[in-house]
Amino acid sequence: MIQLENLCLRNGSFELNDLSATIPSGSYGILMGRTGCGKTTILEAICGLQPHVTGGTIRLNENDVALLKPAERGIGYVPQDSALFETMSIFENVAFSLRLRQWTESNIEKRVHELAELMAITKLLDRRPFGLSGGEAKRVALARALAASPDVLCLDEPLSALDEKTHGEICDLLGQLHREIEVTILHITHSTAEARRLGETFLRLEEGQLIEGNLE
Amino acid sequence: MSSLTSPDSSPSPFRPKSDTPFFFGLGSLGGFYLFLILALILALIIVPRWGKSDETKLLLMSVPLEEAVSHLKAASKKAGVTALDKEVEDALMEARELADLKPKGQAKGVLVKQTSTKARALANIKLSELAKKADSEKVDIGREIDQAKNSLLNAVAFDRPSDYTAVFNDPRIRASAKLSFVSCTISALLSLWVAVPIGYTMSRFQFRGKNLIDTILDVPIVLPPLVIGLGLLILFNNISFGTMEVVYFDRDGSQYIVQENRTIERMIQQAGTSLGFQLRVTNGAAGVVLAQFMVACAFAVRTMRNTFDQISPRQEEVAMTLGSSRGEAFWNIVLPQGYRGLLAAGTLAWARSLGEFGPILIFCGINAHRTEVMSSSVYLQFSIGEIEKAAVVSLLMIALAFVVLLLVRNLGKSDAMPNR
Repeated sequence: MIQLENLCLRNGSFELNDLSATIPSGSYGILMGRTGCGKTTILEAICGLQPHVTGGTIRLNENDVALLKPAERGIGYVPQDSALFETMSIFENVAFSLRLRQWTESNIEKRVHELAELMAITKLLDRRPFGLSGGEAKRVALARALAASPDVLCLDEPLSALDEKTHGEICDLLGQLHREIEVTILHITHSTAEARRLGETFLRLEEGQLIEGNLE
Repeated sequence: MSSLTSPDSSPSPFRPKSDTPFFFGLGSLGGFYLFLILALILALIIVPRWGKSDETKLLLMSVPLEEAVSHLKAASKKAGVTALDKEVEDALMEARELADLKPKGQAKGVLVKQTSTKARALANIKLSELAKKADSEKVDIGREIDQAKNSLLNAVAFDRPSDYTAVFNDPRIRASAKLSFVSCTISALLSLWVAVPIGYTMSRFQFRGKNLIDTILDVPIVLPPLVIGLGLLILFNNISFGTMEVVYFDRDGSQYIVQENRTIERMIQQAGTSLGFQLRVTNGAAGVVLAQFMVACAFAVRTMRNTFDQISPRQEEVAMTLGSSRGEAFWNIVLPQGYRGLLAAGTLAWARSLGEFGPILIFCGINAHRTEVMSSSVYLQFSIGEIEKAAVVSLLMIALAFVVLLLVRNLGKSDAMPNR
């Protein structure tokens, strides 16, 4: 579950105040709003990357994480540009969080290959991120984010800048992931069609207010 | 669309301008600079081969030739009552003729050649035979003959083009090359050690006084290096923190104690003494490294900051959500990506240290085998008129810099990004 209570954020002169919303456990949440209204700021605050939380609470599965470091929040984060680690192979990218948790090499190998199969990136495992297509990069970023089995998955416009066919494929993949993996998802998008296809809980950020409700 | 202005109906069809002037400009301006660099290196190569002017050669040859005459005069006195008397006298006459060095109708260049050829023959043939005879006849003129031979060969040396090998084998030059290489490497490593954390902090964090700190970090780039040397000298030797007892030793071995100002240099020396070894910064090799580091580090900091500015913080942020601490994200994600920047900063710091001269001269002076680096050797040789030797040392510096830069460039291309 993702629960925001009277959350106040400030980034320079930009402010968001009294944001409250709940995405139930295991639900696929969609956050929409106009460009520059602060959607990514909210997502970063949930991930612990936005240092200027000035008030309120962020609860992930009943735990107040507002003061926790990003590493302690149990989150998988896929930024808009995928941000793959350029100096590592795809295998190392996916295994990154597992190595930090000191998994054994055999377990890492098994987990990475499971995820690679799920994301259809097995052939890419030995490559480096340079030269991957947008769709391939998104699949790798998703596999990396899911590797350590996070409770919450935060996706910042994961389907932007993809061609129609790849957009459809990744959309299907996200739907499949949500069905197969017990994870609460918060997905930022501008596309109503994308939201309608994937979403269960809908949030809209309008004039600094977070409005819960259905898509319409 | 209909409201837009319609294209001008010019009589000739539109033709874009040629790219030739642009590429000509690129080529000519870049080529001009490249030509200047190559011309400069060529000049340094040619000067030692061409040697000095004929007039200078004659002037320089006159001194050892006069010395040869005086040594042979001494030999002649000793050989006065022996069988070798006439032969020594002949050699003396010949040496006197050589030492005359006045052109008799011939050009100065010809006179130089004639003199050096005759002097070489006199030394290597006549005087060598004379020395052997003196030895067998038990005539005690061996030392004078050897000295005369050396003086004649010294005169001949002024006509030879500078011997690269001789300069490279000069122990003093070898020591300066070694000190240059070691001190530049240490100061480059120290610069990186400092530049990485400073560059990262300045690139990633916002804090009060950042602009002021940024300006202070650029001061060594703007300041004349001499001023940095002067600052170091004053900091280490003129700023006093009270007084301290300094032990001095007299010529007879007795020691006496004097109250002196407690300067940083004296405190370092005292710490060294208490640890059982001689430690000095001013006028020492450590001072050379410090003077180079003070200038080179500023360039490394600037390079590392630009490097970190170009690396998106997004990957670090993702790494932190995956479980990394900030330190782990830095070591695993940022630093490997900054590999090329790190190499560039290290190379720049190394190259800058190699060329550093002003602060070393002021802070450490030029002491052979201790603080003399290659740039100091160039200055020293030039200041005593040995322009050819200065050129040879300069060439050695160019070669050293070229090899190091080439190695580092190849290292940068190797395995950092195999897919690129």
